[in-house]
Amino acid sequence: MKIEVKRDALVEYLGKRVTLKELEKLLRLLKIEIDEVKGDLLKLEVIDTNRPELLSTEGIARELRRFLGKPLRKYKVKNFPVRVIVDRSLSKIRPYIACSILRGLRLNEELIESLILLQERLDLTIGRKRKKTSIGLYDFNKLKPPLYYTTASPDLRFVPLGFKEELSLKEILEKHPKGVEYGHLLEGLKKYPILLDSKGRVLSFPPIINSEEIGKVTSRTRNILVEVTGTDLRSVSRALNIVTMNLIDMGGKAYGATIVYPNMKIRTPSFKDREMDLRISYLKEISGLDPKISEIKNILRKMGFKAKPKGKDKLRVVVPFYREDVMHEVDLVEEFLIGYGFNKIKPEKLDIVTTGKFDELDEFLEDVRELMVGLGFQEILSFTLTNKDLLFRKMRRKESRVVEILNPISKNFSCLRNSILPSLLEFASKNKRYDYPQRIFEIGEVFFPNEDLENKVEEKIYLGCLLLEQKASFSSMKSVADVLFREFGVKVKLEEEHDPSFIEGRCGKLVKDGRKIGIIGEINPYVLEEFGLIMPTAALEIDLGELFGDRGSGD
Amino acid sequence: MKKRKGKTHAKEIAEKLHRFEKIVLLCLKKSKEMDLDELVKESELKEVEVMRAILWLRSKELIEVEETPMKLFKLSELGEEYYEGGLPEERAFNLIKEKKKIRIPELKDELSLDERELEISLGILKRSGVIKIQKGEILFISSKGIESELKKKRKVLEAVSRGLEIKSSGELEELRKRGIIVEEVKTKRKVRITKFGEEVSKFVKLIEEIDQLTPELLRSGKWKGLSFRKYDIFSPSPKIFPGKRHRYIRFIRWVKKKLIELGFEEMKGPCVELNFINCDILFMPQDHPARDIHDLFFLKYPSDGNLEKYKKILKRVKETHENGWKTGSTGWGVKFSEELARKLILRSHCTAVSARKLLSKDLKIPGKYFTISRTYRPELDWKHLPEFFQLDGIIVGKNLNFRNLVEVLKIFAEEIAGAEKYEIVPSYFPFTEPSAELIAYKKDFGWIELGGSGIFRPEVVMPLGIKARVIAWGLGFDRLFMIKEGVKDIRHIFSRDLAWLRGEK
Repeated sequence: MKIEVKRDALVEYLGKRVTLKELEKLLRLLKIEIDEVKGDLLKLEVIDTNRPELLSTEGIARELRRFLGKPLRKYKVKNFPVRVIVDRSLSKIRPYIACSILRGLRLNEELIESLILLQERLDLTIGRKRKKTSIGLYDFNKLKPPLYYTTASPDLRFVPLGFKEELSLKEILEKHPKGVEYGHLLEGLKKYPILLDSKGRVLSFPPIINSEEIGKVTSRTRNILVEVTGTDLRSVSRALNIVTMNLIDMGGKAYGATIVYPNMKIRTPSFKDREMDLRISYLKEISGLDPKISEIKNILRKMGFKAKPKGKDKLRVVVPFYREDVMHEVDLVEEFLIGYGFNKIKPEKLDIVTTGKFDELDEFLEDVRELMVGLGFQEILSFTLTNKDLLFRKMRRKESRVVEILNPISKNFSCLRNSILPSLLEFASKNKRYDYPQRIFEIGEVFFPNEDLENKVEEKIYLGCLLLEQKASFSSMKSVADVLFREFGVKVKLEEEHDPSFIEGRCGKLVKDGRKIGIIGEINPYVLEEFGLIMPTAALEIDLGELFGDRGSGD
Repeated sequence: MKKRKGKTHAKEIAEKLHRFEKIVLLCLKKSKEMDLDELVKESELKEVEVMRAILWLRSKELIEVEETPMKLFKLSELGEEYYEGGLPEERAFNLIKEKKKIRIPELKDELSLDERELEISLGILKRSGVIKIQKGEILFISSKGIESELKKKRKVLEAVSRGLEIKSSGELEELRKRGIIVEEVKTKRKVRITKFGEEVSKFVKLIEEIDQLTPELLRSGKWKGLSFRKYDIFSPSPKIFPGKRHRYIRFIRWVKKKLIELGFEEMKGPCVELNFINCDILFMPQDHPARDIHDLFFLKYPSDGNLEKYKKILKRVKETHENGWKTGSTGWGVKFSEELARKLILRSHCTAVSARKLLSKDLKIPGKYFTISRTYRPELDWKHLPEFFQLDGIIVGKNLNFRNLVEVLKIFAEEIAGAEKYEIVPSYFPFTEPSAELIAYKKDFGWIELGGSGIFRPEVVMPLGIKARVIAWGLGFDRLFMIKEGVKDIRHIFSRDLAWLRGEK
């Protein structure tokens, strides 16, 4: 993900000025790239999509401080003074909620901005665009616990953030920009999630919008309630932890909440580290290195993992609670390698002897290309994505089933081609200004729906060629086809064919063992007109798979 | 050149004359002085041929050419349009006369005039007292002042269009200023034979010459009595174009050869892929952003594939995603949807081809594989195309380690990219751990990201039942093409420009 951070703000957290070069090197250890430097602004790319805690100045500074040997903060929750009661009706809608309270904050505009950006980035990443989790921030002084996470009818009214008058939940979904953007997440529901305080005042309408009265955080807000709702408990806690940690970094003292579900009670946030075994033999096997145990321990500590020996071959490693990207001991091996320094790792020759081999069909296609070039044809390369208008209407062909795209990026690329000739004619129509004769060919994939295959689509390799010149004729194309059949020793019969793309009576199909494997003919002037061509055109299309499977049988 | 003027000399010159020269000279011998058009008519040669003859004869001082510039008038493109459809003031006049009053914008729309034309037309009509403008409305007054003016203008246009001689007039001047009529200067040439020319012409004889040697002439032996017309070997010949490979496909071939030399075997996979193979097997979480409709083409028809064949593996993959199965991993902790796994998509990365190889029965351990194949992503801007090619591969072996991976990347940087310097830095892919990226330095391009790589995670390899380690790598193929071939614009890969492909640009 691409994020922007201010260099000054980062330096303030680090308590040390670092040169851009040093910074770039350190960020590499976190899989972060500097895309651009614009004065004080650093445009960064966070490559690891499984480390959302790095999506803020605070999160990055936290890791960099450790690399620089600076003292690290211990993240703690004082106690859990607030209760949140969760209603049964949410179990099938948006079941989970997690909360924390930060006291004693003195935030300036810049920190508020950083906080809002983090909230947006987490809603997008962990939250999968608020579907899985969404975060809300509130002025804790303006609400009265306990809180009630429940559901309400679409008629319930409150003043949403950024508005002056009350709107019903239904109206919010229709009128409020956030309602329009995220309303689809609540589609088909009769009742909507709502968060209330003990006086029945609305805190928010998750995952859409906060209330103007309570859900607005400014530089004057001293005590903040953070709330995350969502569909996955692990992600909800993860998002809450990240926001809470950042607010602690910004000077807040953290308090927690007890979430009372119909069937369980959970305290949030939970800053509990995990422990994981790392086999030293495994580390050596994967890394190809032979480090001493003390070296492994030191490097892991630098990367943020405390480790102590356990038995002969193991280290017991403490994984900080926010490092949920560590899923397997192999992740610790990578942390070790990064800490060791990729640039210090010497290459080791592979102990494997193999012989290289071309794909056989590909080799055959290469022979066909050589022939076509020898015959004076220019090779072209087209997209396999195309559209029905080109495949059928312009070619005057009857529509048949083709492989269709559900989410096309443009009308022009809405299905996969079932013939190469339309691609070639389109190419010719774009090159009318150049000298004729034009002889072009393409070898490439064409696609046909086929229920019998696991991917339901049969992929074939076709050769298509066009001859555009004053005297382009059926016979000149037939000569080209004959070269191919002669060269590869394939017995092919020519039969009359009626295809509206071609001039009637000047079109033939190529038949092998009773199967049609190709077509030759002079393109119908109606079709030429569709492509704006004013040059006689002869065409040939052959299924090369059919030639390949049968090579040499004619000799 | 020093001139020897005498009888022998004149004869010598006469014999070496080109046929065109001979014909033109003989024409002039008769008439002494002619202009170009007359010469073309008289000689029955093409204009270029006469021009060429004049040029040559002049340099030999057999003729003299007198050039006088002449002014000619011509209709501009706009003029042609007005000549056909009427001058705007004429059209405006007719409409206003008919309607008696009309609002300015209405007039403008009705006649579809642009701002400038409208202004000129109204100016003319006002000046000649045809109309009055009041509060944006045009009122018709009288047609007295304008009709003769329009008639004159029409006459001028017609005369110009037919190329007749025109006297200068106020109307002509106005139409010229408005860019309706344009002036052109043409050179008129008068050709006169010189004294020496007359001398030479006495020796000129037109005899039958062989133009194109034919099998008929050869068979009959008739050529023996005839002389060959001399060609102008310097005249331009028609442009022809050879058949050529597409540069990109030729480059694919080159890279394939390199990889085969390095012991890699080519592997293939379908463009339409099961979501299961493109993503799930590769341990990409099902709700990963890279898997939603903004990053993956789903199929509308056919929409779902058949997972029957992968029942056993599907169960393991499902458990691996949900809780890690036997891999020792925590898994993603999110419920796995078989329905989503069944969805058909267009292959979004060639790692899917590697996954297919790992699934196939003929996988060799140890083995080295690669593929260069089409991939699809819903992107379309100046830097991204919805279809592109990727180069990916795997190395399968019992005891492979990260140092082997470093070795492989080193070979790619040096042997394939021809990089001067390279570096290997940490990276992230959901399916590899450790993951590394190869960045390389190349003159004129600077530091560039060349490709990603890593060792497949246990969560990928174990459910497939493979008891070996797998190094996976992929190189940014388009980037490789650009730096190796010096192509600056990525859109040239699917270039639709024939001139570029022919090598004319």
